[in-house]
Amino acid sequence: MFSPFEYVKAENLEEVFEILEENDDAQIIAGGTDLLVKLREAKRSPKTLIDIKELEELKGIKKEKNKIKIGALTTITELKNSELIKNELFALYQAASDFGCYEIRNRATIGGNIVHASPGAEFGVTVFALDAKVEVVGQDGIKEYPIDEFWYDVGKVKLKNELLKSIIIDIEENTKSSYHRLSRVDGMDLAVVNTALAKKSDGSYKSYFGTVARTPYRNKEIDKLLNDNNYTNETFKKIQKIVDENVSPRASSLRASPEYKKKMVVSLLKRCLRDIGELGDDIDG
Amino acid sequence: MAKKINTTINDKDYELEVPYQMSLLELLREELHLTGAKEGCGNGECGACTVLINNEAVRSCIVLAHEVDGKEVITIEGVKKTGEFKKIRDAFAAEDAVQCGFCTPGFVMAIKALLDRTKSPTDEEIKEALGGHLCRCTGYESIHKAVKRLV
Amino acid sequence: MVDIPQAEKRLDLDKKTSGEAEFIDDLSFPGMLHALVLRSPHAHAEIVDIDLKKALEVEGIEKIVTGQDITDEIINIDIGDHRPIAVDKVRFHGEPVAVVLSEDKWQAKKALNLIEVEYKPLKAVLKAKEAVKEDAPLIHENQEEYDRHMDTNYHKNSNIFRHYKLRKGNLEEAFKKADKIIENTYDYPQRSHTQMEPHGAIAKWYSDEEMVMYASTQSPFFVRTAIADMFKLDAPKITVKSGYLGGGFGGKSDVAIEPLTAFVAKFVPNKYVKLRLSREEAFNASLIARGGEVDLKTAVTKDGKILGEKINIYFSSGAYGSTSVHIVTAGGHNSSGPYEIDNMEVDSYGVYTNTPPVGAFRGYSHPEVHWAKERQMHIIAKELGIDEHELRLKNMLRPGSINALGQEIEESDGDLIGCYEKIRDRLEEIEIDKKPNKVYGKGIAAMMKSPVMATNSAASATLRFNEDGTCDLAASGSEMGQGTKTAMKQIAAAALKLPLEKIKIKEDISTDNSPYGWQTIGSTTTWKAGRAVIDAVEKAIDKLKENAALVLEVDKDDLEYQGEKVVYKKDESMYIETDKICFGHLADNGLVTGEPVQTYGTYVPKGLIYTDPETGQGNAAAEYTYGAQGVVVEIDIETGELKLLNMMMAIDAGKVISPQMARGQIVGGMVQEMGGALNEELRYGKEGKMRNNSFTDYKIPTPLDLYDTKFDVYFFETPEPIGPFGARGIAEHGTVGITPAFGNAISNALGIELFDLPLTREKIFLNMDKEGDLDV
Repeated sequence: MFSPFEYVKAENLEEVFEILEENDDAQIIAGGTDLLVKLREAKRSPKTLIDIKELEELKGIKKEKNKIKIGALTTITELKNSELIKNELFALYQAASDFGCYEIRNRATIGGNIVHASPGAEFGVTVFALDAKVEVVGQDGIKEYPIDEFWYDVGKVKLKNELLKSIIIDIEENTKSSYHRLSRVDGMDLAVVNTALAKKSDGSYKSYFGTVARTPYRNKEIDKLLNDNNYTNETFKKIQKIVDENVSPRASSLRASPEYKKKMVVSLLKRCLRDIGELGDDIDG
Repeated sequence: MAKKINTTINDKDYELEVPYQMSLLELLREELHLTGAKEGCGNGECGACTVLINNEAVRSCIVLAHEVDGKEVITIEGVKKTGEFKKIRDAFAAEDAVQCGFCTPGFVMAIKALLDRTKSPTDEEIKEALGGHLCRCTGYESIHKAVKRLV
Repeated sequence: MVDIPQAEKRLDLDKKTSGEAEFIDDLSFPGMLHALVLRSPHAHAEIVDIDLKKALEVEGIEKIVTGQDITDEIINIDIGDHRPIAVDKVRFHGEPVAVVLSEDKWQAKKALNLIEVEYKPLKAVLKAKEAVKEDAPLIHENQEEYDRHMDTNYHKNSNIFRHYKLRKGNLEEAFKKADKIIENTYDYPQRSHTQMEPHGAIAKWYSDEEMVMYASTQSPFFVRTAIADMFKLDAPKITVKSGYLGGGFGGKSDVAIEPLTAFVAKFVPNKYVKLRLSREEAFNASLIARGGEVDLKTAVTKDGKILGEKINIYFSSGAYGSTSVHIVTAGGHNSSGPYEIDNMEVDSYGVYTNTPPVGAFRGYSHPEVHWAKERQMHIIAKELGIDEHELRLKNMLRPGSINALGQEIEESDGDLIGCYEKIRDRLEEIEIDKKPNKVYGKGIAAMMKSPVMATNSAASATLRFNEDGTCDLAASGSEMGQGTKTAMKQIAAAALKLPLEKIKIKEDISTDNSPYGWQTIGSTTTWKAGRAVIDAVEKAIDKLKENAALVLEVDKDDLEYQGEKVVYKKDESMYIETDKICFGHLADNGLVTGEPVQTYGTYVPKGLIYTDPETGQGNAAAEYTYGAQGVVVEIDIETGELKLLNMMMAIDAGKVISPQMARGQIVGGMVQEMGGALNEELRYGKEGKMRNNSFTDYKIPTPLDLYDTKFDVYFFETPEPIGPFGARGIAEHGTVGITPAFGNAISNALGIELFDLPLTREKIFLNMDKEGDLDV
C-alpha cells in the first residue's frame, strides 16, 4: 500500500511550477510505473504528487523538418507503434520493444524513463547515441540541452522546478541506429547490460554502453575504431581492451558482474553492427 | 486526502470517494469486492492484477484508483459474462491451462485485450501480450496452446 | 487395468477462469483487523528494547503485540526452537518483531513506522559450511533446552541441529579397490517457492480457548495441531479452514505465518484478524527452499562400476530447524540417486544459518542431491572415457538391487531402465537446426523420488449417498492446482462404477468436519487419499449389498454390485437399483429396510519405520517413482544466452488418473525447476539482508522463455501395488533431475563443467573456453 499523499492533477504548466516553488516535498508523477513502485516500499510518501498527464504540451511525436520531436509524456506503446519512429529511429523502436512488458508500456513514458536516469535505462544509451537534445520548460520558459549535459549522474538530471518537455533527435544526422540489451530472462526484465549504436550522416559511428558507468558511457577511441569500417577479429579485441581498461562497473550489482558487463557491451556492439548491416561473416561470434 | 470520482466499472456507473493513495486494485478488491483481480506482487511485475482502462490493459496495482475518474474499467467480472470469455475459457479447458488459478484472471484479461486488438494474432503478438505474465504452476505450455486455439 | 472416467475439464476451471474462485485474501469480515508486521532489519541481533509509545498514540490502533507478550508459546513440531514472534533475539532478516492491529491499514502502517526498536547486531552466518566452523556465531545458544519429538542427533555447541548418518557396506575397502576416485563439491543455493499467491491467514478467537482460522495452507490439520500445542489446548478447540491455494509447492505445508496470526489474534478476542504477506514478505518472511552443498567422493573401476561413495551434505537450513529435519534425512538416503551402491557413507547435516527457515519445496532434497549425483555421473563418464548412458545403466537400480535404505527393488517399483532408455533415444533422434554463433547440447539425468512423510501420515475420505442416488464425497488433500479434487472424483467414480456427474466432492477443508489428512505433500495425495476413497467406496458397496440382500431376500455373497444396480448373480433378472437402496429401502407401506449408506475410508501406509540412527537404513520409504529427464539447449557463444529447445521426461506413473492433469504436473514441475537451473538464487548482502526479495531481481521462468520449447512427456504404467488402481505419486518428480540435465547439456555443448547453480547466462559465458575457436 502507499502511504497517504495529496494529489493535484495539473491543468497547465503554470500550476506545476507554482506548486514546485512553494512545496519542496512535491513530486511529479506521469505513468507512475517507477514512482509508485518506489512509494510502495517507502515509509512515507511525498506530501504532494503532481500529475502531469493532462499537459498537452508534453505529448505527441512530431516531425519538424529534419528533426523528430518526442513529447516527454509519450508512452512506450506510442513509441513502439509509431511508423515514423520505426522507420527513422530504429534503435528507439527496439528499445521500446524490449521495455518492461505490454501493460507497463501502456503507462510508462519516455520522459519518466529519462528523468529517472538509470545507467541501464532503455532510453539512456539510445538517446545518447542519437545525440538527442532535450527541451526543458520552467517558469522562465524553454531551455534546450544536449542529453549528456541534461543527464549527468545516477538518478540526476538538470531540472530545477522544471519539467522535461520533449526529446529532439535529428534524423538527417542519424542515418541508421540499433539497440541491443541483455536480460536474465526473456520476458519482463531490466536491462542487465545494453548497447546502442548510431551511424551518422558522415559515415561515423557513435556507440554508447549502459550499466557500466554512472551514466551511459561512450569512448571516442572505440568509435574511431568503428569508423575505420574494416572490421576484423582484431578490431573487437582492441575494442575489448579499451573497455577493460577504462570502465569499472560497480561490483555490488545484483544483476551482472563487472567482468560480464565489460564483455557483453562488446558482444552487443557486434549485434548492433549486424543490424545496421555492417558486420561480415568473417567475424567470430 | 480523497477525491470524488465518477467511473464506469463493468458497465455499471459509480460515484465514489477514494483516498488519493488507494490503488485501483485496492478499490476493486477492498471497496467494491471485485476480487477477481489479484495482488501477486504489488509492483506491476506479475500480471495477476491486470484490468482494462478504456480498453487498454494495465497493471491495476500501480494505477491510482482516482485516475479512473471519467474512464471505463473492465475487470474479469465484466468479461466473464461475454461470449468471447466462453471461447477463452473453453480453450483453457481443452488444454487444461488452469492449475491453482491465481494468475488465470490476469492471463484471461491479457488474452481478451489481445483478441480485441487483433482477431488473428501472430506469434510475436501473442508473445508481446503474455510476456509479462507470470505463472508458477503450468510451465506455460498449456496456456500457449490454449491461446493458439483462439487464433 | 481399470478405465478411469475422464472429466471434461477440472472441476474448478470455470471458477478460476472467471475470477470467482476465492483465495484467502479475497475473504474479509465486518470489523476485521489488519495485522501489519514489523520485521527485523538484521540477520542476527539481540533485541535490546522496543518502544511502542509513539506508535500507540496513532489513532485507530487496536493493539500492538511484541515478543514481550510471549509467555511460553512455542512452535514445537520436531524441535521446539521457534517462537511465533522474536523474543530476545532475531535470527533472520524478516523475523517478526512487532505486530500492529488496526481496522485501518493505513493507520496501522503509520503506527508501524513509529515503533522504535533498539538492536545489538551480531555476526551473521549465511551458509552451512561457514556456520559449522569453529568460530561461527551460535545462532541457537542452548540447543539442549529444546524439546524434540525425535532424536535429531544435533551437535552440542554447534549450529548443527540435525545429523543424519548412513553407513552401508565397507567404504574403506571400496576406496582401496578403486581404479579412480572422483571428488567434487556441488552447490544448490537457497530459492523461493514464489507461489503466485503469498501466504495469508485470518483468525478469530471466540473465547479464551476456541479459535477458527482460515488459511492458505496445504495442511489444515497439521496447522491445527501446531497451534493447539502452542497454546496447550486440545486439538478440537482449534478449527482450521482452507479452500483454494494459489500455489503451495510445499511452502505452505508446514506452519509459516499461522502461529503468529493465532498468537496476535488472541489479544483481540472476537475479532477477525487478517495477516497477509506482501510479495517481499513472501520472499523473506515465510519459508524458503533448497540450499544444499554436496561433497561427493566416488570410487569407480575403470569400466564404470561404482564401488562406493562418501557423501557429505550441508543444508543451509535457516534460522529454525523443524521444517527441514526430514529434508536432511531424505537428502541423506537419496543421495545415491537411482543407483545400486554397495558401500556408502553419508553424513547429512541440517545447519542453522541466519536466513529465513527452509521448508519443504517440491522435490524435497531430491533435486539438491540429484544435482550432485547426476552431474557426477556425467563427469565420471568423461573422466573414464566411457559413454555416460552405459555408465548409468551399468549401475542403475533394477529388480533385485538393494538401495541405500536397504530395501530390495522389485519389478513393481517401476521401469527405471525403460524410462532412461526412452529419454536417451528421444534425445538422440532430435535433429537440430543449427544457427550461426550458437552451440547446442543435449543433457540427460536419471531420477527417483520416494515420499518423505511421517510414518503415521494418514489420509481419509467420507462418502455419503443422498436420497436421489448421488454421492457427496470428501477426501483429504488441499487443492492447490494439482487437481486433486477432480482426481478423487475420478477415482471414486471408477470404484463406484457411477458417472462422474453423480458425485460431488467437497473442495474446501474444515478440520471440525472434514476427513483427516496429514499434509498435502510428498506426491502422496492421489495415492493415499485415493486409497482412502477406494476404502470408503468398498465399504459403501458392502453396505449397499447388505441393503440389497435384505430387500431381495438373498445372501449378500450372491450379489454383485454393478454401479447403477445390485444384481443377483444366480439370476441377473433379479436386481435392485442403487438409488432405491442407498438411503435404506423405503417400501410402499413405509417400511424401511437397511441403513443409509455413509462411510468413512482411511489409509495409512504400513510397515514404515524410522531409519536406524547408526546405519541410517530401514524401511522408511513407502514407494518410489522412477524416471529420466532430458533437455536440449541452444547457447549463444557471444553472450551465454541459453534457449530451451526441448524438455522431456519419462516417468513410471503406475496408472495415470488424468493424462492432462498429469502432464500439467510434470511440465509445471520441470519448468519450475528450470528456474533453479538457470536463474533463481536468493542473494544476501554481507550482513545477511536478503537483497532480491522481489520479482525485479528474483527471476522465475516467463512465457517467453518457454514459448518455442517442445515438451515430451512419456508415462510408463507399471502398476504400483499400494496405489489406487496402481497409481504412483508424480507431483514433485518433474523437478528432480532438471538441474543436472541442464548442467550436462551445457557440458556437452561447451565442454565445461559447472558445479554451482544457477547456470546463469553470465556464468555460462564467463566459463566458456575463450582461447580456442569454437566450431559453430
